[in-house]
Amino acid sequence: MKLQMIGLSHHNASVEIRERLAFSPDQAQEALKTFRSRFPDIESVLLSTCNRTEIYTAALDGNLCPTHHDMVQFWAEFHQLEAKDVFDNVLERTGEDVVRHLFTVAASLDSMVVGEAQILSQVKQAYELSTQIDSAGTLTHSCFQAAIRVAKRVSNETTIHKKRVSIPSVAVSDFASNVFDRFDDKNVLIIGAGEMAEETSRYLLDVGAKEFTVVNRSLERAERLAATFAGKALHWDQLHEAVIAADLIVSTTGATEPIIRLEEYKQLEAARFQRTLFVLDLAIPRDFDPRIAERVGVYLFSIDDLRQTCDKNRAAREREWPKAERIIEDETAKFMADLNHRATAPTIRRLKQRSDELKDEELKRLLNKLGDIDPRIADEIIRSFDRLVNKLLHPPLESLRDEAGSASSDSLLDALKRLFRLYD
Amino acid sequence: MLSGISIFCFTASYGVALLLEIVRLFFRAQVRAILSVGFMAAGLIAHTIYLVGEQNGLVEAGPISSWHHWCLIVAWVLAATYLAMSLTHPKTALGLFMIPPVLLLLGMAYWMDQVAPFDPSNRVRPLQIIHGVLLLAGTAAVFLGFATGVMYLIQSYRLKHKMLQREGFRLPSLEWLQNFNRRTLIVSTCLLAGGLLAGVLLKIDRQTNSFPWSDPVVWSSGILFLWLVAATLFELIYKPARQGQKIAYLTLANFMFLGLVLAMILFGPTQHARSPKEQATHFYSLTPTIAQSEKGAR
Repeated sequence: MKLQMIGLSHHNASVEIRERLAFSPDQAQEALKTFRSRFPDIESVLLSTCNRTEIYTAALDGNLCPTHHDMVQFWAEFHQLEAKDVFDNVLERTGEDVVRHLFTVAASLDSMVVGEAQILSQVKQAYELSTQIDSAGTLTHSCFQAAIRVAKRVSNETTIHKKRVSIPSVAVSDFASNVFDRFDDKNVLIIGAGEMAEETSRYLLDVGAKEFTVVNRSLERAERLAATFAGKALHWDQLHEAVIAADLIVSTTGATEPIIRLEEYKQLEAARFQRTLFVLDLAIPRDFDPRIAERVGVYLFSIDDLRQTCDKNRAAREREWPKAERIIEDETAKFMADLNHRATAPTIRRLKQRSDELKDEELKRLLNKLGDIDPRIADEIIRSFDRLVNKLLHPPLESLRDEAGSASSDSLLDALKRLFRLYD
Repeated sequence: MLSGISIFCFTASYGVALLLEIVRLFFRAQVRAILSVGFMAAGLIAHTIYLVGEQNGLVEAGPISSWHHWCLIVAWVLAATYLAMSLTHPKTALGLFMIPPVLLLLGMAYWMDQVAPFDPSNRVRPLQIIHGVLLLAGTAAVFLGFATGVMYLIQSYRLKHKMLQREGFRLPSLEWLQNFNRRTLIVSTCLLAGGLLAGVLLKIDRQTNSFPWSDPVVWSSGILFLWLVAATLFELIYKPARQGQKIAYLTLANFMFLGLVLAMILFGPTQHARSPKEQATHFYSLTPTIAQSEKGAR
């Protein structure tokens, strides 16, 4: 049995290289089919996301597995690149390392933003695609199913996925979600059209927000950002109207003075009927007068409030890391033990079967020769033969079990097959 | 009682569920959640069997036969509601707020065991049943409003002070709590209004000349009702009162008024709904021996 993986990720390849070597869903399907026709006995799964592209291969007979060179060549040919372009940027893993790596990837411990939930669904999609087009087999089935289970275990038994570390993600997942039950009926007002506003809006979009209004001093930039979220853009002088209508405000302007002072807010407050207002003031200096936070129904968070939470989450995540690693190690060891058992079990079974056949033949001959003997003596002879066979088989089987999973396991298994002529 | 189940059995089961909810604050384990739901469900099953056992002769006795029974049913409604909510919101610490009222009501039921039962001649009258059932459901709604009101205030305080939710002390969102509070306020007002109206009609139906205004349960219930109407009108007419903290405070005030009514039932000199024969027997004037002998006589 052989498992191998060739691939690249954000750890070892720049975004330009990742883009060149990535596979779109259609390309992945085509690549798997091509791979299948070129290596018909090899199982394969192709995982391609914006941060990693990895090809997992497996074969029951390790000798049939394509070499590193074959894999690089295949990849380069598919993308019509020079083999050297692929070779210089990919890493290879084999055996237990592949299992550990896949478990780590699925559990989102190898992601750029550790703990992000998207990678597990991407792993599932990659596995489902291979299953659909019959590229997956016994080994990849068990390996990917185990990876999905391990990812869930890490998610259930640690808080690593729950602790967000970027300011917009903390703002949305740790605070906005505690204020609002749903976002699809909320009016989101974005003041300013910078990167932070866009990133926060993406998180809001992920949790279901639909209604976006962008107010910016430059209407053109506001319109551009609003178009990204199918929202509407308003002139800067409509800011107060927009605040009255808003449920959630993300403010990220570069203004040097607050754009909403307490006195101004008090005037708007009556028109809002004290409706709950969640304000993410991500600007430095702040866009909202901090005293507004004391008003009824207003939950105002500045960048400093959120940064403290991010730091706490980062520390909490670091504390959880060893626990997650232990789960990965534990599950990898279990998986490999199971895999090795599956690899040696048929050989052991055949060896025992062959020995039993020989024993039965010799016993039959002996008992025929001895003729009508005392049944107790016959029983004693049968037991004696059983003991002899067991004692003869015990040392090689013990060695096989001891070596299971080690580097010499395959050669020992092969030697046993050759010595006892156990080939199919 | 049926299968030897006593109040202690399901009170203990709910108590263990509460302890497991407290453990949630310090430890994170999936088995805790399973055990907590398990104990709650076991308690609810025992509670149901106990109530069914007490309901032997339902037709003769009517669905609510005494204050003791009334408290048990309100506790059952709250326990069942909590169990359903704990399944839909498994990550929230709802139990810390919803199990104590259940235990409080069971404690009251235990005390009320010695209070005279309702007048058997009235218990099966449709108007009497409506009166009892609506007041019971309204009380359960006020209890629920109280629990979610407290949760709202804690969640709001936490967010105002930029405090992160502790893993073991997660609460539903402010919006959810606010909506739930609003509903309990309106529902409890309607139910209690219906219950009180049925009570008034009952008196008219009896063609008695005097209305028992001096009965502490009657006048305190009247105050509770007037308060609920005022609170609901305030909530409906004054738009800012529909928002957040105000509605939470209204539900807390509702609970205070309800507490007053229940205190009147427990400690006040009321003979409300009790059998005329047994009107002389009041729980705090009874010795356990007398209570036992009365039970035996029933």
